[in-house]
Parts: sequence; structure tokens; C-alpha cells
Amino acid sequence: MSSSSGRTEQTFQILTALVGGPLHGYGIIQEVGRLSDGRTQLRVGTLYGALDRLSGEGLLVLDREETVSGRLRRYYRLTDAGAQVLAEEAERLARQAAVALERLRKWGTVQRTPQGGMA
Amino acid sequence: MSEVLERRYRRLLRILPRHYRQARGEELLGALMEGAGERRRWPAAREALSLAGLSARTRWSPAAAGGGEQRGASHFGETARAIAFLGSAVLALGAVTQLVLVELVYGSLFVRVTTFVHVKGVRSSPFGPYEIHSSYLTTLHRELPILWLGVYVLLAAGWWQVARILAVALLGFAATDVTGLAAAANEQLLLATITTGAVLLARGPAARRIAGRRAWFAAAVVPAVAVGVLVVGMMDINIWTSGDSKRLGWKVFRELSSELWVSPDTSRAVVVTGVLFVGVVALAFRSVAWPLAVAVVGLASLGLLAAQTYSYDPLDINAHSVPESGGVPEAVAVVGGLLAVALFALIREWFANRLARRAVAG
Repeated sequence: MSSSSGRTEQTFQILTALVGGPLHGYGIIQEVGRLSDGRTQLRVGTLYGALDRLSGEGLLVLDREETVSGRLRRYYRLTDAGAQVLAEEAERLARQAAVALERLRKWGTVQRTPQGGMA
Repeated sequence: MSEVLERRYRRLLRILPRHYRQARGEELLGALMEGAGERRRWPAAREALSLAGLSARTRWSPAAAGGGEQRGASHFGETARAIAFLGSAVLALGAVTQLVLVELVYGSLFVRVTTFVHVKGVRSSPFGPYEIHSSYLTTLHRELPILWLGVYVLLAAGWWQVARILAVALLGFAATDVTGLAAAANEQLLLATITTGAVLLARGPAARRIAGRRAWFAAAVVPAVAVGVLVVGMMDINIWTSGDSKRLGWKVFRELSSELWVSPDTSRAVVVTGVLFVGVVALAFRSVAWPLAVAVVGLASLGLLAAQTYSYDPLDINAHSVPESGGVPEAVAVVGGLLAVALFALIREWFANRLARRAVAG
């Protein structure tokens, strides 16, 4: 399995969207939009490029097919490997965020010193 | 209204490769229609752009966008791969032949190592007289193309990234080398451009390493032929300059080297064409990639032959073109035949796909 580092934000969001259960293409687009408070609007071409790649890596699998109002829907499900990669990626981002916050706190403390200089 | 939009989205989806459309088309259409809303009449520009991106990724890196199933490289990728190998091999062998000619015609290699040349005057060409007034730097312009052999070996060894860098450098060299052909264009430029483009465009599975021992064989075969041409050519020259033209060796070397490479007569052209056709037709039954690559490289190689047919000292502005014996009509016939075989391969593939679709539908 490839390393989880360096995955794009969109890939992370797609994997996150599928944690709640299988979703079809447009369902993933809606869920990603909802999880990002509307900041990320996935395009269909972008989504399917990512779905192909993630399926190829074994992080997603096809769960089932349905026909709704004459339209084909394929539902995708996160695999155990996908869940593990997502967890590793989330931990990596959390560690990075913690480091950034720690440095910001230190930097803020230095700014408040009487000399006003930086460490 | 939704029927109109659906029709337009279906038309837009034709941008995707057929195999991908067959696997994902209806699913993509469903997602596009669900996201379109009731009042939309035309596909959104951003969706069109994203589908164009998906199409490019699918064509150039099919493993990354396999349409629900893992596929090998696409026809596009395989053709680019074949052109990369074939083009670099032809450029390398052309360069070796050129080295032999440099020794044969000018009698010395590595003489004009680096020269800044200012040319002004009227020069004749196969296309009529024309004025020239230009300055250029010439650096080993007849010797450096031998490095295409390096590009070929790197490709065969699977070092595509290094091969890409070397190919781009050699293309830059070919583009700045304006000597050698009347139209101030290098005879290698077209083939070098196509080959470099193919080396750059072959990505993903198309840029794979050759499996097993075949990699060693593939990497060795063109250098071996090149060394053979070089050795035979140089021996030919030595015998030729000795003046002993009645020796059997002289005749054999003439047959095998410059006579065959530089000015093939009709009988040789027929033999070469026959062997080539049998090979390419056999390939055409397996895949369209190689027949297409052979046709493209063959067409682009006509410049190499034309440059050898009309020879003159590139640094002598008063030199007249010297048409040498034959070659061009036969070469045009050969390339025409190769194009016909490529067309046959495409038609055969189309029929095979059609029959397969009918079988699935039935």
C-alpha cells in the first residue's frame, strides 16, 4: 500500500465522506460539500478520477449498484485498508496541526516579551 | 428540458475514451444530471473542464483511471511507447550512418568541434536558389546525434526519466542545428520532435520496464546493429580508399554498408519492403500500436533519406546540391505501404471491437 503522506485534501475528504457508509457518486459530492461547509465543491470528472485511483489502490470497493429514476448509481464503500490509510492520514495531519499550534503559541509568547524580539 | 441537457451531457462524455465510457458512462451521466438541477440547459463549464481532465488522465495514465477495472496501457500510450523505442533506434542508426558518411565524404570526424559561423549569400538547393544571412554555432552537429543511442538504451533499461531529459536536450540541439538542409531545417528535426514527444507522453504503464531478460536483449540489439554498421562502414571506406575494388571483401562491404543504407536500388527496396511488411502485418494482428508507430516513424524518416540523397558541404555557401542515386521514390512507396498497414490494423481493431460488443449484447 502506498504511503498515506502527501494525499490531496480532496482524497482525504472523499475517504472521510465514506466513513459513514457506502455512497454513490453524487452522494459523495454532496457529503464532501457538507463536511467542508461548502468550501469544497467536487466536480464529477475530478471525483471519478479519484475514485478510479483509490479503487486501484484498494482503498475503496464497489458496494452495490442501484437504478433510481432510470439512472445508474454505483455505491462505493471504504475498505479496511482505506480506513487504516485515512486514520494514518488524520493522525499525521493532527500531529502537524499540533506542531503548528505549539510553534504559534511560542511565537506569541516571544512577541509579548518586553524586549519585543523574536527567539 | 432534462432530455436536452442529457443529450448535451452525453455528447460531452464522448470526450472520454470508449472503454471508459462503456464502463462508467451511465454512472457519470447520472451524477452529472443529479448535480445539474431542474433549470440547467447546458453542461456547466467547470464540469466540462473536469471531464477533459479525466479524459487526459484516462488516456495517459489508464492505471490511475481504469474505469472500474485495471487495464493495461491505452492504445495512445502503447503507440507513444512504440514510437519512443522505434524513433530513438532510427535516429541512432541514422546518426551512425551519418558518422560513416562524414568519414566517407569529408574524411574526418570531430574537426568542426565548435565554430561560430556567419553565412551570407545565395545558395542553391533542390528547391531552387535562396538567400541566406544567418549566424549560428555549430558543435559536433554530425557527431552528437549518436547520443540517441543512449536514449534508446535508457528506455530499454526502464530509466524513462533520464531518457526524457536526454531526448529533450538532443531535440534542443537538433532545433538549433540549422546546417545540412536547404530549408534551414534540420533533417532530423521532425523525427526528433516526434520521438521526444512520444518519450514525454508515454506515462504510467506505457513507461514500464521491459520484463525479464528481454530487457537486456532489447537494450543490446540496436547498439549491436549500430556497431556493426559503423565497423562495416569504416572497413568499407578503408578498402575503398585502398583502390582495390576487385576484392571480394570490397564487394561484400559495399553491399552490406553504404550501398544498402545510402542509395538503395529498386531490388533492395523490394526486399526490405517485403521483410518490413511481413513483420508489420504480423504485428497488425496483435495491436494497432506498433503498425501506427512504424508508419509515423517511417513518414518522419523520409527527411533523413532526403538529406542523404542531396548531399553538399553545409558550410560552403556556394555549394550546389548533388542529387545522388534513387532512394526517394522507393522510400515513399515503403512509407505508403506502412500507412496502409496501419490503416488495416485500425480497421481490424474496429471490427474486432464491434464483434465483441455484439457478442456481449447478444
